[in-house]
Order: sequence, then C-alpha cells, then structure tokens
Amino acid sequence: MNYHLELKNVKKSFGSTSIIRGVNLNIKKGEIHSLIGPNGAGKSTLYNLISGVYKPTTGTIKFNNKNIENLPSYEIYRLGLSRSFQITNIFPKMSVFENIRCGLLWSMGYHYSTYKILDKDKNLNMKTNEILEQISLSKFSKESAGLLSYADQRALEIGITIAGGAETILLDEPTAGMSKSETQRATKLISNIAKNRTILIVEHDMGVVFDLSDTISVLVYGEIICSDEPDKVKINKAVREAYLGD
Amino acid sequence: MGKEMFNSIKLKFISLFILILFLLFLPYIFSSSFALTLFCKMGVLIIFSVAYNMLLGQTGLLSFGHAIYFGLAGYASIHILAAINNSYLPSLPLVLLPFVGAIVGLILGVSIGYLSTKRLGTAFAMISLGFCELITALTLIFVVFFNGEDGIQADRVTGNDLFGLTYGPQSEVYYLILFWCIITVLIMYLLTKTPFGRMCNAVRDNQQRAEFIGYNVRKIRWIAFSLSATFAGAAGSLHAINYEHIGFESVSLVQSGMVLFMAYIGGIGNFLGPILGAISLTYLDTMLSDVTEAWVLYYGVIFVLVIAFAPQGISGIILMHSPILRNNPALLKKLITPYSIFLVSILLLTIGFTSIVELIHSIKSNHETLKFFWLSFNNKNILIWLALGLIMTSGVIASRKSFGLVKEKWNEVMEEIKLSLIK
Repeated sequence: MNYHLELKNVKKSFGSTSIIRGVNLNIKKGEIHSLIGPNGAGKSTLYNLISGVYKPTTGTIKFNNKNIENLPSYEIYRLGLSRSFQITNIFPKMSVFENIRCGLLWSMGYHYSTYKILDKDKNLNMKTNEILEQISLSKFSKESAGLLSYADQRALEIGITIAGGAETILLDEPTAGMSKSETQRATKLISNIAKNRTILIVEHDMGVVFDLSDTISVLVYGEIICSDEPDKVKINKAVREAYLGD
Repeated sequence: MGKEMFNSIKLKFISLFILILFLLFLPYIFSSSFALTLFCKMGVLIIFSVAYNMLLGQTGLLSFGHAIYFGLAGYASIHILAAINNSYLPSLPLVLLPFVGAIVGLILGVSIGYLSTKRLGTAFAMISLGFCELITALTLIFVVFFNGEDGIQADRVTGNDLFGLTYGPQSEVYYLILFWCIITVLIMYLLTKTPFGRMCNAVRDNQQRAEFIGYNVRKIRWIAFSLSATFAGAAGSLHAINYEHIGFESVSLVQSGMVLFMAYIGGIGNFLGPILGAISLTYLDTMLSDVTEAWVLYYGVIFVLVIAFAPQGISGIILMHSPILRNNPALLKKLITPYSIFLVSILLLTIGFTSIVELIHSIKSNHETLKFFWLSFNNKNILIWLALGLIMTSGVIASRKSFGLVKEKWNEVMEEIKLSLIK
C-alpha cells in the first residue's frame, strides 16, 4: 500500500547521541494522525526531519511517493507539506492581515515578483480575509501580530500554516499553554481545517488527542512503540507502561 | 471604509503633488549657491540612505560596506565623463549616466551579495566590513583606475544635453538630481508594496517562518542586496556628477558609516526615516562643519544618544504619536509641558557640553579666548571652567529627571488611549 507520508528506518544522531533510532511511520491520506510520547522522546526532532530543518543520518522519507529527506524546507512546503511550531512562529512586527497574506503569496504564484502591487489584487485580499474569518481574527486584522494574546497568536500561526492551501499539515503542540476554553476553540479550529486535509499532530493534552485522532503513534526514546487506532492504543500494554503511566 | 481609503489615497497624491511643486521652485526660494549645493548633496544622500535602508530596515541586514556600490559607481561614471571629455566616447546625455551607475551597482551587488548573503547577522556584517576595507585598499593600490588619494576629476559639461541643458549651472544639476531622486525613491517605495518587499519584512521578522511559507530566504536577501546596491550605484553616479570628482573616501568606511548614521537617526523602521535622516544630517554636517572642527565628535554623540534613548529614530518618535492623533488628539496637550521642560534641559546640557568641548579645543589651537555664540571666554580663567561644568552637570541632572517625567506622562496618555479602545 502506498502511504501519503512514509518514514522508513529514519535515524538521526547529533554527535554520538542518537535521538531518533530507526523510526518507521506511515500516514494515510486524509487522516488525523497523532504523535504522542514523553518529553525528550524526539517528537520535535522528528518534525524537523520531516519538514527539512534537519537531514536524517540514515533512512528515507517519502511524501506522495517522492523522496524529500534531502530537500530544503521551502521546497518541501511547495510540495504541499506545511507545519506549525511549538514556539509561536509568526511575523510579530507585521499586521495580522499581512501575516496571513504572506502565507498566501507563494501558492498564488507571486513568488519573488518585484513589480506586482499586492494591495491591488482583490482576489488575494479576499482570500486573506476568508482565512482571517476562519481563524476568527478578522477584528484584529490591522493590529500588529506581536500585540495579540497568546491564544490568538497560536490561531494566527495555524492560519499562516494553512493559508497556502497545503494538503498536509504538521501541527506541533497547538494547544500547549492554553486555558480550557482556549483549548476548546483550538480543537474546533483543528477539526475544522482537517476537512480535506491530512494532519499530523504532536500534542500533550490526551483529551484532545483521543478526541481528534484517527490513528495514534507513540514515540518513546526515538522509536515508535505502537501505531494504531485510539481504542487499541489505550489498551496497549507497552504504551501504558512507557507513557500513559497507569 | 472604502471611501475613507479613497480619500486617504487622494490626500497622499495631493500632498505628493504639492511637495514636488515645492521642490521644483526650491532654487527660486533659496537661490544662493550655498543652498543649491546643500540641496544637491541632500538629494544624492536621500537616494543612498533609502537604498541602504532597503537592506537594513526592510530586510534586517546590517552592512558596514555599502559605500562600495556608491563609490565604485561614482568611479565608473567619472571615467565615462572623462572619456567623453577626451572624445574617446561619443557624448551621452548626462541624465542617463545614473543608469550606468545603477548597472555597475547591480553587477557588484549580485556578485558580492552572492557571497555575503550566505551568512547572517554578525557574520554578514563582518563580511561587508571586509569588502569595504578591501575595496578602499584597492583604490590606493590600483592607481591606474582610481588615481590613489587624489581621486579623479572630469567635466560634466559635455555639450548640449536634452532640452538644451548644459549642466554648467548648479541649478541644472539640482533638477537632474531632483528628477532621479523622485524616480528612485518612488520605485523603492513601490517595491515595498510588492511580494518581494513584503517578504523582505517577513525574512527580517522571522526567517524560519518565511522558509515555511515556501520562500528561499537567501534568495530574498540576495535580491534585496542586489537592488539596494543598484540604487546606491545610481546615487554614486549623481554624487560624481555633482562634484565632478570622486575620491577613495567615497568607497570607504567613513562613507558607509555616514549612510548608516543617516538611516538610523532618521529611523529605520519607517520608509520616510532615512529621508529625514539624510536631510537633517546633511544640513547639520554642512552648517556645523563651517562653525566648529569638533563637529565629528558631536556627530558621534548624537548617534550614541539616539541608539541608547530613541532607537526608533526621528521618524519613529513622530509616528509614536499617531495612535494619540487617531483616537484622542486632545491628549497631546498633556504632553506639551513635559516635552518643553525636557527640551529646555537638553538645551542646557548641549550648551554646557559644547562650550566645554570648544574650550578644550581652543587650548590645543593656542587661542586664549574663545568666541562662543555672542560671548567670549578666556580659557585660562578657572571660573569659566567651573561655571560651564555647573551648567553641564545641571543639564545632565535636569535631562534625566525630565526624561522620567516625559516617560511617566507618556505612559499615562497611552493608558487612557488603551482604556478608550476597550470601551
């Protein structure tokens, strides 16, 4: 079977320390796939390997049957794989509107143009407003992004991530540090954007994980110890010992 | 909303029109040759500093060597002028010469930019510094092309140009510089509105995120670097035409530092900042260098104070007030008193500091008395030293206290604005 995103025997070491020790991970098209595991298991490193921040020491990563393990991040993005970050990663000095609009530029074919005036493109500005509507930030459109509240910045981050129309999204702890009501809002937003998309999500809030996921993979000390449906993961003995802890 | 925006665009056009009209008549309002020379210099440096800020303010790249593109384009232009003078080359309308400068800048920018945009931050700054020293050394080594410390001269009057202009009189050069200044600044302004311009800001703010929306950030930096060098080249060409001379100092660290000062003091966060910086510093430079030899010292002190206390620069300080103007202009009244107290204390400090500096300077130059404003001092009189010391000390204390007062009042006003926004 061909998977949408396929990691085969991926290893990554920094000096003599191996962080990822042979990960095999298969993600089907259209599913919400959660990656859980204790702190230091290598979840962020794995994300950085998939998205081209790091190159794997050995192993292959295939996205839509194309090897991407040696591509730079921006080319992986152009293939349709976009990601958010654990630490909020927005353009703080630019307005909320500009943040989203920048996220749209590449996919709308603007690339490095030095002669097209952006304010004149009604279609682009309309699309920007649609995304602002979707992430409920329309009212802050003109504010500078750095002034938004934490939860709103996280929403903006998701907005930038999805703006370019990528069909596969990696989300890194999208609800970390949020209050209950904020988490609810974020969960709603995620299930909303998951329509027609494939989502890989790293999350510590088990409520969110078991609520959203079609598949859950458990990463412990650089290895996937289990990858299955939520109900089966819940009763998996190895997972309970290593992670769920009861 | 739509109408409001339309009105603001209309307002922009009208004010731009009035500004251009004003600039066209400027030589008639201030007709002295001194004023004309000053305006010409300002025009050239406006182009240069706006081009520089494309790199520093818009893309977040600090270069210590931007005079290379300015100066080398100047050398190329002077050589072309000299060749025309000697009939090696057919006459070329002078108005096109800045194009040549721009092309020289572009070629240099593309090649040097290719190397230096590989690195960021400190490494980028160091590479630019290295190139600056290298080219300055070249000007003194390759005498054939650069003619060493003397530099090169040429005659800008090459025969009749378009519209019967000869560029003999300075006022004609003024219009040439004005023409190029308006065109280049307008292009650079429009560039900030393009995808490239927006992505420059994005790369400046967060390069990792810029990469994850599909952009090769190095390519953005490289394009910015090349375009910035292109416009700096056009400015260098005008500089050469204006002075009919180019020397090694135009590629040197001094010139590079000068444009950095201008952009920074004017404010790098705003498109208009470098323009304000170029105008005010050129003015001060020209005026004060006639009055005092210690001007370079004052220059440095101003730069340090701006970086320490007002890193947003002149334009930044002005724009800080726009939320007040937008929401409740009446609140500005609250700021008048603290601002005036602060200005008076700064004035006290300036008088104390400058007179002490001038007094010290007068010892070295063996004058016993120093004329300062309408007063004359004897530098052997200890009482004068004490009095000036007292003035300066009280100026420092008063400035510090009143700066606190300004801050306090400012915060009060901002609180009120925030409260009114929540309602």
